[in-house]
Amino acid sequence: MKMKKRHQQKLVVLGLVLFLLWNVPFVSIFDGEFQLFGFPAFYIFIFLSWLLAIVIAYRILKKFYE
Amino acid sequence: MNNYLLIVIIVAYLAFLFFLAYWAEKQKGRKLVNNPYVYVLSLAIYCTAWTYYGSVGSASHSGISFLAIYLGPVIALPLWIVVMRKIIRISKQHKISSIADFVSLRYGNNRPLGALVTLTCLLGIIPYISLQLKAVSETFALVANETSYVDMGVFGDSTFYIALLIAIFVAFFGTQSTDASKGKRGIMATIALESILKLVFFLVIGIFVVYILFDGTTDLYQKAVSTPNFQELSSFGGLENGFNWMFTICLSFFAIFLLPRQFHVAVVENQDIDHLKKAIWLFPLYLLLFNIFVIFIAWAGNLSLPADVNNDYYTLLLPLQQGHTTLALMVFMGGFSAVISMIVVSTLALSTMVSNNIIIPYGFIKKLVEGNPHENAKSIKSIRRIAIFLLIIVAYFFYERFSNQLSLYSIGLVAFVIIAQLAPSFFLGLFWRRGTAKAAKAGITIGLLIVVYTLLVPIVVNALSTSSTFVEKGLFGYEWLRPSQLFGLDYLTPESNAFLWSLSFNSLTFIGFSLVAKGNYRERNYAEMFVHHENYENLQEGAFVWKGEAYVDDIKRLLNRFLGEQRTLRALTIFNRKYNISEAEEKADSRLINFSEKLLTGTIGSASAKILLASVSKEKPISLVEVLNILEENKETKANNKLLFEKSKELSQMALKLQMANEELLQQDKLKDEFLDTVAHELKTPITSIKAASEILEDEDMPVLLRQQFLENISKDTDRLAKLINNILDLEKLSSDRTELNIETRSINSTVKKAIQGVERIAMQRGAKVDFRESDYLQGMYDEDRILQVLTNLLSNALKFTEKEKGIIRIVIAEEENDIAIAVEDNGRGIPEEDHNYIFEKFYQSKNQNTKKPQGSGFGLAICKRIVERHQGSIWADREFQKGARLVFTLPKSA
Amino acid sequence: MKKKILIVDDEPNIVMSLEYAFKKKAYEVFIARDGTEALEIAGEQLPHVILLDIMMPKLDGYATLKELRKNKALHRTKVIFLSAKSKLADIEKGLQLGADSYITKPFSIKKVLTDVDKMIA
Repeated sequence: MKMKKRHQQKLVVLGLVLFLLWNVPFVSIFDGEFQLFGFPAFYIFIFLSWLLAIVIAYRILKKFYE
Repeated sequence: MNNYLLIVIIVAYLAFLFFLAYWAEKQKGRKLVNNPYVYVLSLAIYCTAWTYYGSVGSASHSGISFLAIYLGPVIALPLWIVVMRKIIRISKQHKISSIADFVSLRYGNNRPLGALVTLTCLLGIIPYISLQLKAVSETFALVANETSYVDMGVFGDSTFYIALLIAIFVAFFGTQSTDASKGKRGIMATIALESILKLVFFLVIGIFVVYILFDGTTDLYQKAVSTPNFQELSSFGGLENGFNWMFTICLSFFAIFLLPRQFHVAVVENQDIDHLKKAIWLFPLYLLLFNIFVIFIAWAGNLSLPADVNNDYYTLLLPLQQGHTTLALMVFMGGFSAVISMIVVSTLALSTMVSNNIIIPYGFIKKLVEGNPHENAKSIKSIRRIAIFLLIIVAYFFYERFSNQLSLYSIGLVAFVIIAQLAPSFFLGLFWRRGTAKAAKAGITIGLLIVVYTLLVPIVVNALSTSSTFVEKGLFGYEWLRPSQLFGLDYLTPESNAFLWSLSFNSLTFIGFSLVAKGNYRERNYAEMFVHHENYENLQEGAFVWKGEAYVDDIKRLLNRFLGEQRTLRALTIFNRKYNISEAEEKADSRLINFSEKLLTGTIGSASAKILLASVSKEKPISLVEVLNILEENKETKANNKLLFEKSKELSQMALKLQMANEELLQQDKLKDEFLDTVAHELKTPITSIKAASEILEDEDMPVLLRQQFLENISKDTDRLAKLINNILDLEKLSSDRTELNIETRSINSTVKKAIQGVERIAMQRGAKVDFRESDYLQGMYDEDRILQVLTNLLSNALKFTEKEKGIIRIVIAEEENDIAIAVEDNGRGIPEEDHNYIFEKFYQSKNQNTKKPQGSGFGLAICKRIVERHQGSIWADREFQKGARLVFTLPKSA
Repeated sequence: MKKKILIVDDEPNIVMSLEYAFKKKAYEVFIARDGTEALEIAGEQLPHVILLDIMMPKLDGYATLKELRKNKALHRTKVIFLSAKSKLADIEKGLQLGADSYITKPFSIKKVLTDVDKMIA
């Protein structure tokens, strides 16, 4: 099985985006007193982006890793 | 719970793991063990007791920082598609069995470097293992009924026996093969199971705490909000914390690659590189699930438990407080699973490193060279086993001595910081050719020294609780040399501080040294092979340049000692066949050296393999330029060989085609000869008849009636001659496209009817039925006279080949997208298989005609073919048709 | 006694001419249209001469000749091939098989008559 370089790069970009997103200054944007279902804003942000990253990686791999 | 009962449960659980490992070991090549899910679950050894207990502890007093430990791997996993793929490929090609092997091989099988990497790992991981043992011991004490617990020193400590059992387990299943690069199915199966257990039990306790002890997450939040330091626990904090956060993410990012146990499960135990496809998204999901409930358990613990308990064990204390012993036992078993899997893989990886990178290359190698294969295999296994026991025992005593002073979370991070020292030489080495062995050694050493100074010394000093002025005031009293606030940076945690300075100096040293002095040719060769792996993968043994003298016999003897005669013979046979080398070849070339080195690397490590091969060969140093040139050459040769191979394939295909064409020509030639004979015969027959008749007619006494008969014969034979000649000319004209076709739009139905009328008389004579199913009103574009000729020919053939009085001939018309297909079927004896290819050739007459004398001129179908082709149609005999012959031709439909 | 001649050919027009010519010469003429028929008639009538075509349905001339030669009763019968096959190789093959003469088509009826006469004189 193989994956084209172009599609591999999508995953690399995903990794880089996650690194930027989860560090200052971006991460502090979501630092507030807001809560949803008992999750503080910061955790909502981290967990949702985490989940989103999983879904994106899954979609990319499913589609292009063949 | 009675602690003896608990011991029984633990022993039963361990026995079960033994059984599972044993069973999985037997399942050779089965999907059950070799599948992507087992791979993903084995990666989950990342979650140790530190995750299981330490995360909650950390979340309960320091807030978010625990999360950073998992974000690093989540960031790293998408990059695996490039980085881990490369690492796995290289490792599989070189039979690499540990990270020390990997790093030392990258820098030209550098022996001291392999040892240094191993020492680094030992420094980081042994305390880490100790902390796992500490977790077992402490949780055991919590779950067990403490009143029945009697302290009897080391040998009365159940943790000691658990450690011993784990050592036996690893020693038994981890050393089944002397080749350390081979997968250990048994162990991986137990790891996978333990990964499931720890996650499930952790989720169970999470649900219990959130939904049973409290009324859901929102309820917990609302109650926790009023706790004094809640704001700190639930938010990110200031910019300064942002650096600690980032450094922790970086640490964990490196750890997922570099921790010996992670390298072991991700690389050495990888059975199939395509397992990455699942791992890249599934492993982050596993981590996500593990983290969902952490904050809630932490808050719940803060709310319900007294302040003096150990925060790390909230998961156990919360159910125990409510009297849920079984639940507590489950949590304990989950944590225990996390501990065992971590210790098992860590000791396995470390023992391989210790034996292959320290013990064998620095001392044992001489003994091995003299031993026989059986003894050697035994010694290598014994070395590894002893290493396993030593590691666990050392870890146990470390735990005994230091465990009270340290928390799970901090020792885990210390291990990460130490292991991170490998990052510059590992990652830069993977992508930057210039990195040299000297630079790697210098970088790692500097990095380690800084870690020791900034992190380990203060810890040890604190642990020994002797107040030290230099920790407080800095070395020699210089404030800027204070270990935990080096250069006066006072807002970083000790770990971040150590990470920042050690890694900065480490990287700078590595890069600086690499730029100042070039590596030797060997280092550069391996650098090429690692960095541009995709180019050299195909070269395989040719990717390594070696010049010198060595004899195949010496190498064979060497391999015999380690692999045994059978395996050596098999490996060399494969090698010789692969490179087309004669068995009688006496001198070894670089490919054999490289091949043998690889074979030995799996067993004794790359450094020792290099030493061994050096002992049986005289290596001549070559310049770097030469190495690079030869590599380039090898690449080209490989490409050329590929080209040559393709060309020769092409050539042989062409030769085959030529041969076929030649045969066809010969066949044509033969057919032409036969045809000429036939034509001659056919021409001579009417001529003979005419000549004979005209001679007879000289007889004047002949009765008038007879005379008329003879004259009529002459006339018929003349017609026959003329027709024959016309046919020959016709075919010639059609073949050379000289005839103009009179193409018009016509009704195919009426043309077919005309053709049937033409043969009606002969059909009646033979008593054959001609059946035509008129189809829809179809219009075709064709020359009606020519198509009549085709139809007539096909019909007369059909008549000719059916039995008298029994013949049924059917004409079927079918409409296709652009064409009309007309089929003429009969119920005669059909067309023999061997004739199918030839019936449309001119001159061809079936050998299977029921008479030796050819019927017809042999042009009929050839003319038909030419006519149909001139109409852009095609004609063929339907091979599927069984009841007789079916000849089909197509004509263009009118637009 | 009338001389008996058997004409074997599948071309009716040629047979017709030969039949007329030999009857005129007072031969008793038998006609066969293929090899098997020829063997049958030859066995019954024991003709003095057989004119044998080569390319015929069912049994060709060569095979017919081989069969004829197996019959002891026919060992004095002269066999003449009459064939359109005019290559030297064909003629040699015919003679080797034991034909007494080989006449190529198209032939002159007069020549056939004289050859046959000479042969059984």
